[in-house]
Amino acid sequence: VRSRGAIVAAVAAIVLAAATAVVLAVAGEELRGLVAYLGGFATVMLGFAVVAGVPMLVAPAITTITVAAGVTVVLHHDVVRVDAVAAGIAIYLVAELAYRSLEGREPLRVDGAVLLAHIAPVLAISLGSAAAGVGLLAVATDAHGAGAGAEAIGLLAALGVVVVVAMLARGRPPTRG
Amino acid sequence: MERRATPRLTAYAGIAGVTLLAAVAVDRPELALLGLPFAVAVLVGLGLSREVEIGISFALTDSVAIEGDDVDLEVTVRSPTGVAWLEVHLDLPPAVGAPGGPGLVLSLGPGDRVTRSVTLHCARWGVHRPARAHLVAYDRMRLFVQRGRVASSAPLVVHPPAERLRELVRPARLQATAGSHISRLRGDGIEFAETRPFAPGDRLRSVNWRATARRDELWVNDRHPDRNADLVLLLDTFTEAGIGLDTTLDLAVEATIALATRHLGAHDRLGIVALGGVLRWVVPGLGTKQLQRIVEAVLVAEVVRSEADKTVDIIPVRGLPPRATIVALSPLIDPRSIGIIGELAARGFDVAVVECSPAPFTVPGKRPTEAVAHRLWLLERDAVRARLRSAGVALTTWERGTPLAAAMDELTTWRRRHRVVVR
Repeated sequence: VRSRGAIVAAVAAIVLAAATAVVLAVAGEELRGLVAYLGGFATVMLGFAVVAGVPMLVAPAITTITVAAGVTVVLHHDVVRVDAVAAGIAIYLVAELAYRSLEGREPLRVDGAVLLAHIAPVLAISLGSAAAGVGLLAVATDAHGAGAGAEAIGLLAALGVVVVVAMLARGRPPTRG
Repeated sequence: MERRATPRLTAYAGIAGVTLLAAVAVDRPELALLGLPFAVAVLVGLGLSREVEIGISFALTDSVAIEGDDVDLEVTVRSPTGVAWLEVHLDLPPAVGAPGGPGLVLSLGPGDRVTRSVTLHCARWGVHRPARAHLVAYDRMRLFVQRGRVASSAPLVVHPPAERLRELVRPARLQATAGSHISRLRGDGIEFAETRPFAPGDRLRSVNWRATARRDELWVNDRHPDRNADLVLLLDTFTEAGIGLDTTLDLAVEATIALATRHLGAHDRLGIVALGGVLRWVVPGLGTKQLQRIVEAVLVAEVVRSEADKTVDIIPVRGLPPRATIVALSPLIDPRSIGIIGELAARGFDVAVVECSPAPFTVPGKRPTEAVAHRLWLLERDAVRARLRSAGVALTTWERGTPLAAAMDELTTWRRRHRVVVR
C-alpha cells in the first residue's frame, strides 16, 4: 500500500532529478557525455530507490548527481557559475522529495495545515540557501575583495567540514527507551 | 521512545562535507554552493532538534459492538515538549478495519493536547485490541526520528449478528427441575395429557367434573409436567473453511450464541465445550450470567492447528453431565471431531449436529479432474452424514444466507421422525 502523497513525491523526485541531469548535461559542453551519463545513472538509481523502497540508495544517487553538477561547474575555469546555487537547491529538493516518498509510504490522514507547516522549513532552507549563496558568491568574486571573499568561503568550508566531522564523530544521538 | 538519526542526516552531512572540501581543494566557491542547502539543513536541523516527550491515550466510544457496526476510537496526544510531525499508526487486527485509514498525523506545540477520532469498522466478531499503536515522531527537518510502541487499552468486544430462534432443540431426556420442555411423564403441569379414573392420592383440583358427571365416578385430568434440560454445545474448533473473514467458525459461533440465548431463556442448564487445538469449556449453568460466560468463551474461540489425536476422553467430566443433550456445531471436516460426535452417540448421549456447511466456500475448479474431486468430496460428506444419522445423531445443515431457524426446524422434524422409527 502506498499513499498518494508518497507516489506524488516519488514522481516529483524522479522528474526533478531527470530535469536537473538534462540541464547539467546541456551545460556540460565538451564533457557532456560524462555529465549526461552521471546524471542518467543517478536518476535511474534514485528511481529504483524510491520505487523499490531502498533508502540506502538515495544518498549515492544524490552524491552522483552532485558530482555531475560539480563537473559542470569545474569545467568552466573562467566563468563564475551563478547557476550552481540553483543546481544545489534542485539537488536538495530532489533528495527531500525522495526521502519524503520513502518515509510516507503508509497512507495517513494529514491535515492541510500540518502538511504546509512541515513543507515550510524545506522552502525556507531553499530560499535561504539561494540568498546566502548569491551573497557569498558576490563577495567571493568581487574584483576588489576577491581575495577576502575567497578566504571567507574557504573558512566557511573549513568550518563546515569541522562541523560535519564533529557531527559524524558524535555518532548515534543519545537515546531513551 | 527510541531516538535515532534518519538516513537523511548522514547523506546531507556527507554531501555538504564533500562539496565544501572540493571547493577548498579546487578553489572554486561554486562547488561549496552545491552543498550549501544540505549544510544549512543539517545545521538548522541540529539546532532545532530535541528529544520529544509524548503521552498518548485511547478511548473507545463503545467497548461492545455488533458485527458490522462502526465504533469511534478517540486518540488523545499530549506533548510537554511539542512535536513537529507525529505519526500514529494503529495496529488493527484483520477483523477491525478503518475506512478512513489506520493512521493519522498530528503536530503539537509545547504543552498541547490534541484529540482525534478514528472510525473503526467491526468486520468480524471477537475480542479485539484495536488501540495498539506505534508512534513515529520526526523533528522539523526530519534529521532525527523517535519511534515507540504504545500498549493497548480496553478491548473491543464484537458480538456476532444475533440470530433469533423460536424453537428449542428437543432434548431426548429431561431433568427433574422446572423448565419449558413438556415432559412425556405425568405430573403437575399445564399441558393436558389425558383423563383417567381417580386414584387415592390424587388432588381434588385434578378432578375433571364434566367427565365425572358423565361417568358417575371420579375422573381426573393427567398433565405433562414442564421440565428443563441439560444442554452442552460442542463447538468444533479443530478446523474451519471459508473465504476471507467469513468462515464456518463464524456460522458455528452465531449458532452457538443463538442457541445459548434461546435455551437459557427457557431455563435450561447450558454449557459449552470448544473442542480443537485448545480445549475450553464452561460447565452447564443457568441464567443471564451463564449466557455472559458462554458469550465470553465463544468470542475468544479460534482455530488452533493441532495434529494431536484427540478423543472424547479429553472432555472434562463436569463439562458433560449425564442425561445431557449435546448439540455439536461443526463443519464436519476434521475426522477427530466426526469421531468424537460418533463416540458420544455410541455412549448413549442424545446428540444433535448443526453442520456449518463448508460447501458454499468451495468451488469445483475448472479442470475436469478438479470437478470430479469436488464431487467425490461432496459424496464423502454425504457418507459422513449418513453414518452419523445411522448412529442416531440428528443432523441438520446450515449454510450462509439461510436462516438458522429453518435449519433448526429441520432438526426438530428429523428428531420427531426418528423417534417414530425407534418406537
